Amino acid sequence: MLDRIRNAFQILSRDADVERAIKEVQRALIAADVDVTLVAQLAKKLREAKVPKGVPKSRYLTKLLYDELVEILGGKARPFPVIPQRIMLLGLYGSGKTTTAAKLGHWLQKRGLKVLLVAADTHRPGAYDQLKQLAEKANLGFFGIKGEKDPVKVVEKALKQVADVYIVDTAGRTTLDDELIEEVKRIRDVLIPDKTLLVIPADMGQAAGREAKRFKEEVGVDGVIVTKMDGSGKGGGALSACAVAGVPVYFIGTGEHIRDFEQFDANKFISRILGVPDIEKLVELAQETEIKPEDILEGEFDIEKFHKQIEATMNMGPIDKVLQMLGISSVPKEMKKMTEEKFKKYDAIYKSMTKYERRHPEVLQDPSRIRRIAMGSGTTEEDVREMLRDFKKAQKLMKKLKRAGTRRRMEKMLASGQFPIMK
Amino acid sequence: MLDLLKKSFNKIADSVAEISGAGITIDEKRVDEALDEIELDLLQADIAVDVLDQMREAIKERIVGKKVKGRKEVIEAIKEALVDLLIVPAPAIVPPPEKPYVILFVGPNGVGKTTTIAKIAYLLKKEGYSSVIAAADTFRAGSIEQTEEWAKKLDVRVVKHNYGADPAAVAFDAVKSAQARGDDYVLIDTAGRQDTNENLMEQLKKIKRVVKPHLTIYVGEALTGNALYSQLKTYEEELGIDGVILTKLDADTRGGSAFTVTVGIKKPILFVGLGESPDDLKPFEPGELVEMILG
Repeated sequence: MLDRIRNAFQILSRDADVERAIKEVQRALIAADVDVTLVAQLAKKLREAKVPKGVPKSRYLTKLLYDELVEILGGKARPFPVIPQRIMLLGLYGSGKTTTAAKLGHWLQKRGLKVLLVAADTHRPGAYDQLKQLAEKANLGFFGIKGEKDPVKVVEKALKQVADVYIVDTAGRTTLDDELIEEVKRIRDVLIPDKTLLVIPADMGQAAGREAKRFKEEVGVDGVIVTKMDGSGKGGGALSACAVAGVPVYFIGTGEHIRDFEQFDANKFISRILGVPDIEKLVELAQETEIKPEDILEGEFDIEKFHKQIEATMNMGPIDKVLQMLGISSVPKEMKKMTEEKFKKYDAIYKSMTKYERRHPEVLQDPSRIRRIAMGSGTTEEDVREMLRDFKKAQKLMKKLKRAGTRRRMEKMLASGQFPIMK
Repeated sequence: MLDLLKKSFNKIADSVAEISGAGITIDEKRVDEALDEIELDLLQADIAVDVLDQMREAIKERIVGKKVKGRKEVIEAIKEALVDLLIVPAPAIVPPPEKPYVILFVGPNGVGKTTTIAKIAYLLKKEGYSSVIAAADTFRAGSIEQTEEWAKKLDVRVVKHNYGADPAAVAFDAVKSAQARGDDYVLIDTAGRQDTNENLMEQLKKIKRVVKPHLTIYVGEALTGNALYSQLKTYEEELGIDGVILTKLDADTRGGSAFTVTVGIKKPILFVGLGESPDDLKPFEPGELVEMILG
């Protein structure tokens, strides 16, 4: 989908060929499960656009397409309030409610709030244990009553616990049926949630819009969290469902782990598709991993700094995601896998070096040192030499970057295989 | 739930019959035009974009040139073509003389693998076969407890390790245990995974190498949109699958996903999930689905 949308922008901005651009966009959006009626509307708007005098057609249409895409894919960003509150999570079976409860809890706790996860899914076998285990892992508060069949009783007792934020995980169904509506309403009447959030998976098709609308009408929905954005599903169904239902998308889930969770901003989402760097997200991530950029950028670049750089990259998550934030949108598969394996090896090698060696890499020309490090880290001498070679490349690059680091240059380096530690 | 597809195909029948009149051969141009007209409807029914072209060709191939008398016969021809598109021969699932018969269940997160396995165990039990469930989803929190709760309800044995254990080892132990006790089937539950996660796909390959299942079943949900095609394709290319179970067909879906399976990757749909009770897993009947679509 991404290629097609990029294509469409190129066609529009280069030769303002509206019909060809529309065709590309239409196919891309439909393949991404965007609500078909919205796609038809977009095409109509592009076709009937009146270009104001004095504005180049290509520029006007490009802007129009961009704005319309932002609108279809969730609209203006709405930051999620970091305040004490009661949250109710809703969704169909398998949408990822329970995992999302823990991710949202983690996100709020990182921002200083005391969170209690409440196991009010008394329907699905194993739901209680799932939430409990997730809470323990993430060090979040948990309340549940094993064996209790009435979710309302669980919620009543949970509210007697002290916490800033209550996140209530509710039961799903295959579809929003009368039984589920009844159950959710009963929970709602006791909980009186400040926010009712609907969880929708990114691979859901055209049913997403219909479901979102029904949930909103039957029980009320304040916002949406889209899960599984890391899979083949592009989220078009879920995101456009929100446009149809008129509710904001607050967060997206982007992976298996608890920190694979970010605030959603349609603007940035599309910018990322188009290869514009997302610096804010990078900074946010760097803060969460507690590594300061100046730690790496300032002073002499030695192996300690090189290691920090690797550590930071590893902590930020898969390499392709990090590069995406830098605006580099396509990372070869092999490179991703190789890089992750390599990083692990380099970490072991680093740990087998003495402090003096890390700060004075020049002594590492000594073969006996290399032999010792290889043995200590369970790698080969060639591995150690490879790491040193990569270190030297990184050192060179850091010098260059300090002078004039532009994304374009980095991209070029990446394309020509010159990027340090990732040939 | 399937009324949209029904309307679309009625549209084809109308336009073809109207123009063709009585006793005329269905011609290609008209079918093409009719298909163009209903393309958006088909997409709205969650027939994947990439599958649509194949489906158009397949429908044309089957009805163009047919001699028909009227609208009713055009509908019959389309029905036949659709049923034909949904039929892919399925392997027989019977325990070999040397027991057990091992089935590996794979698929994305949240599609209903664990529940489906419980339903299969129930089905087998009703037929007089014994089975063991391998709780090889050692990643998702609560998955082992979920399996155990089902197993208790159905009185089926579970082989499990702790969370974080090697799923291949769990699967292997379950097979060994079934061999020792003379069980007929081993049902291996695996952690849901996105097809884009290479490490996790590697892990599945390892399970497959270690236990050499007789059958690998992809469990997917009918609500999935275009992603179903790429998911299935990756699973087929990376791992190899023998058949598909389509869950949640009772949800608000328009049935297009069935065509993604049979036309897109040409795999049989072995069962469909139509509800929450163990009884609600049914063999897939192409005729019934098409009957539901075209009525």
